[in-house]
Amino acid sequence: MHKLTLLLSVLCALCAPGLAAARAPDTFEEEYKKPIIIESPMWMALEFRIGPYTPDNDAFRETFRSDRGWLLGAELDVTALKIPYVGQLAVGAGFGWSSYSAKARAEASGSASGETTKLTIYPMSALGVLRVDTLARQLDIPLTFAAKLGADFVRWKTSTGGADEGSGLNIGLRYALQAALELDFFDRRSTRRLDDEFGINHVYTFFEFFESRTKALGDRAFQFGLGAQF
Amino acid sequence: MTRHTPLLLGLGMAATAAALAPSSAAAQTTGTTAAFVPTQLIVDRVFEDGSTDDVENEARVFATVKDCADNVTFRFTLNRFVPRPTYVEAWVGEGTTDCTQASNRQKPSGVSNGITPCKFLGRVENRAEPVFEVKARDMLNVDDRNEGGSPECDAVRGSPVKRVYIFPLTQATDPDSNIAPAVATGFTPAQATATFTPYTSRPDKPTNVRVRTGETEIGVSFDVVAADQDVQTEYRAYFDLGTEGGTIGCGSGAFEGTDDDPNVAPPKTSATIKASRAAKGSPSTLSSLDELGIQIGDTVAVSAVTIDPAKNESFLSEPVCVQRISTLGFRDACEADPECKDGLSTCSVSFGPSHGALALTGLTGLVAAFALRRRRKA
Repeated sequence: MHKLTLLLSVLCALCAPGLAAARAPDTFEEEYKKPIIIESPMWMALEFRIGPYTPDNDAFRETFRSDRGWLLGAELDVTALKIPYVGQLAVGAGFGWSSYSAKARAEASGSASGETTKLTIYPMSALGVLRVDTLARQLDIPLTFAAKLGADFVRWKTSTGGADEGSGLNIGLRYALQAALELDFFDRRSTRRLDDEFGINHVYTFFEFFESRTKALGDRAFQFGLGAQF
Repeated sequence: MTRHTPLLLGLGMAATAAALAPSSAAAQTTGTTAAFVPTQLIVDRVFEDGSTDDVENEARVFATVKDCADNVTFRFTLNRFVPRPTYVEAWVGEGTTDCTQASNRQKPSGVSNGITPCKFLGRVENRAEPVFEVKARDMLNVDDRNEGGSPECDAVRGSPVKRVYIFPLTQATDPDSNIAPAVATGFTPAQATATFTPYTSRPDKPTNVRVRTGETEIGVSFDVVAADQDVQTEYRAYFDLGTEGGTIGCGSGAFEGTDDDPNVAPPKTSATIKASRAAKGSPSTLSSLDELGIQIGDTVAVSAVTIDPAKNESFLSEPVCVQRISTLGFRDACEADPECKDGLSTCSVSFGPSHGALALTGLTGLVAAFALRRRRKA
């Protein structure tokens, strides 16, 4: 329920600037002209994301309770195939980090001890990505969507106090669905300059739902972030 | 007898403040000698192990009986120096003795009764290393009758002692001569002043000692009194095992003290001792709980002391008893949960047949996409 509320809030926040801009005085007429289609190479996408993430298992909840982690991540997609009027098919590699800590409990009393127990995870993923940008390219509606499917490789390590208590690698399925708002319409001239000078075609903010089905460390969660296609 | 074992805190290097008023005497020489302008004088304390305390331009030098020990050396550095055949010498006199007068600067062996009005501390003749290194006791005990004898540093026990050091530029051709060489013509000897303040009283003890305990480490932290913050002090934690019925012992056990941790920065007022030594490559010199024989269930008393710049220790703070206990961390919780235990093995693969098929389909699709792209390009 909380996630849904947060999702709606994020979407509203993302839409608000666009609506405001549409109602703004028309002082720069060219801002509202139909975008000019210019041939410019675009083979990659880079995304940075953040969101709460808690592995779905009882031991985790019992130990870390309210620690929601905040999973930080980055992903690089390389286009394998451009599909006319649809979008791109790409391969992607992602890397993330999240850390959880809590006071270890005294075995005898169950109360919190002076030691800290920690779990750190480094989710790495290899993904196939289908990015659909039909709305943005054909209808000037700045929304794109992406579906991702692949494998999650979660490197983990845990410690309590001064003792390392293990590490390992968990592998499982990962999929994700992404909705993105391209920010080009805010200032098309700046967008053009970004493309001319740095080769960045589009900058977008996105919301992504994903699930990692790695044993003990998997969960469903959502993230939001900023991305660029270049 | 209770054994107090200094264990883990070497919290801070005692700062030594020094005061050497930079000489502003811009000396001029004539003839073959060049100008000598000691615009700044630096004092370092140099210890036998080669470590130093940089005390440049500070206000005071703290001197105590320990400072008078042979292992404490002061270093005077002349920032600017002249080449041979000139020399710079360091002389110190007691009270109002005018060491700028050659007659007061006779070398000890050249005086029948072995007493000189001014004491010769050393000569610098190497431009590459214009440094005087002088034993603290030589600097403080101007009267040569005390040299090598006892009690040392009597003069600084009662009240601050001010010393004026004279650095004349000489042109001696025979550095071993017992006759004081003449000061170079036109040269005004440089002066540096240092005040030695004895610290003979105990500093205030730390308060509010807190401990945190667990299976793999025991930590201690405490508050320091405000007055200590003006002067850089160090702190040390003591663990009392009470093995022989000590007054503050909390239980039984046996462990030995070890070196202080040299890596704890001065402002820090906490430290942790772990169950085992840190991993390879760590500079830590602390012993571990295991090495010290503190087992799970053992109780020890922890106290802390303040150590002032003169190495005076405060009384022990109010002791706090702490027991090494067994704890349950995430791994323990996971071991108790079959699903988690199965998942957190060294390498866990959770691809089921359907997942594998899905991933295989996706991979095949991507390969096909690449192939299609290459074909189109061709």
